[in-house]
Amino acid sequence: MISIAKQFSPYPFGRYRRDGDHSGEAFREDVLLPVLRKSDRVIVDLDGVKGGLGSSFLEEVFGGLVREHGFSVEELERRLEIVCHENPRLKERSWTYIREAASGR
Amino acid sequence: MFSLGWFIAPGEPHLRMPKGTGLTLKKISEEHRQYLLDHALRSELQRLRHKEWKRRRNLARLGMQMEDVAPVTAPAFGPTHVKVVSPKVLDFNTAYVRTIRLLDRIRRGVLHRGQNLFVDLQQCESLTPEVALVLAAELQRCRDLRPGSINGRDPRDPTTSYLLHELGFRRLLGFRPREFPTTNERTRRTYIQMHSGREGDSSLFSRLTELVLGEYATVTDQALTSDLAIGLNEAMLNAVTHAYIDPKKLIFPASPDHRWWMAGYRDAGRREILFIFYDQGLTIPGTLDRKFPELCAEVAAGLKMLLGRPDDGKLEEQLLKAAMEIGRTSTRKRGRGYGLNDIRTLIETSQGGSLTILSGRGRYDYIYGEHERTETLPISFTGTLIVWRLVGSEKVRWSDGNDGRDLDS
Repeated sequence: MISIAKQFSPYPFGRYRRDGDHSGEAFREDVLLPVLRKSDRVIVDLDGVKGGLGSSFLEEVFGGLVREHGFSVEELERRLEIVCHENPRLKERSWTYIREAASGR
Repeated sequence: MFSLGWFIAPGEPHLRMPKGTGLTLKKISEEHRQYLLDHALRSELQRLRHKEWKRRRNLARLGMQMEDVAPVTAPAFGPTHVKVVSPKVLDFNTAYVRTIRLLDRIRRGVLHRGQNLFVDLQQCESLTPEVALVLAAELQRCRDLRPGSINGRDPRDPTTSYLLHELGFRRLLGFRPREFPTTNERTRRTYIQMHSGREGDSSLFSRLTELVLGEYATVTDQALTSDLAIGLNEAMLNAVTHAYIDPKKLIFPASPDHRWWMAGYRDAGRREILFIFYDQGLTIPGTLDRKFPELCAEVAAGLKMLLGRPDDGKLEEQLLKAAMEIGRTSTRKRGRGYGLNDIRTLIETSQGGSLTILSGRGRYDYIYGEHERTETLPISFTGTLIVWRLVGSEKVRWSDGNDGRDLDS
């Protein structure tokens, strides 16, 4: 399980690396992708983030998996689980970003 | 108390006042005092012009140009400052044109014409926090780009003057602090003092939610806290990363380090939270074509078909409208542009409040449960202003022990 708050930053911010050290691009490439390449199943925990998870961050993390790294929706549905008890809409949104990235590819 | 500006402490020499006017000024009528001040300014200006002429003449005799010697430094306040008088009401809702004209007069005067200005707010009787923030931002840009170019004085109206004080107007701009009498009256409103950050500076981000909610943050509805943080996150991201993406397109030079500003207040009595974010960068309609060129082309073509002629104001309004719809419709791709919708989601989550965005010639208003509309502004708004207002939200739980109602009694 990867906890964004614990293993990355409690204050993730921005889309690209140029937006700051704790951007969606940095999380995807430095934290999520290495684990996703090694493991069959990965759980991403969105809870505990103090600064809020903006759309830019989430879209770049999850939409970016499809857009930049060629994952399909089916593969991600099988291998990726997103957990967010604090704000369940963020989980739905994350999956929306994945599907929208796939339909726009 | 008589004060001669944001910079000059009482008793300091500042002007060559006519004999006998010094500290006795407060005893004479307002009209007479104004007359004497204007007269003193005119005389001083005449004296300085003559001095400048003599300097040029003497240099010419020596075969030198003015450029060969160091320029005369303008005093912090003096006759070289052109006076700009504020209208009585400064409000982007009820007095938009007058308010924008004042701001334009300041930025054009200092940044285009090279004038030093004395911004006289004495006549101002009503000022909204939004205008206070934009005004402070403008003065800060002018002072950053041309140090010594700005001086002025507070509104005579005590409430308006106190509002500026509470918002940290003088503190932000480094003006001489002003004392206000302390009262035992319980204050219902806690102001979030003006903060300014630089492009790429997200250090304030970690404290944003805390700043906006204050001590209430711990007991506010969790989903609302999350949405508030998300909205703040996106508003800040827009200013920090997109607003100054192409500074060459800006009409007025950008402030050094590409600044952004924020302020607001919490009012437990009215169960209201206001948050304002402002940047002087490229507007939302101005940057949309970078992210969504096809969408912009569609909007422009549709408008041309409808109106039959190009209309920049209407186009910018429609582009702002389109920008607000991205993310709600699932037709737009490329993975960008959802941020503005995050800002709106906050109002929906809190089930009460409004969102206003002024950007270029477009104005966007959303009032929960009432309407969502855009309109064309008569004069372009420089930069982007985002104003959130959460009012009477059932989801905000105030931590003063009884939902803030004790403050109403």
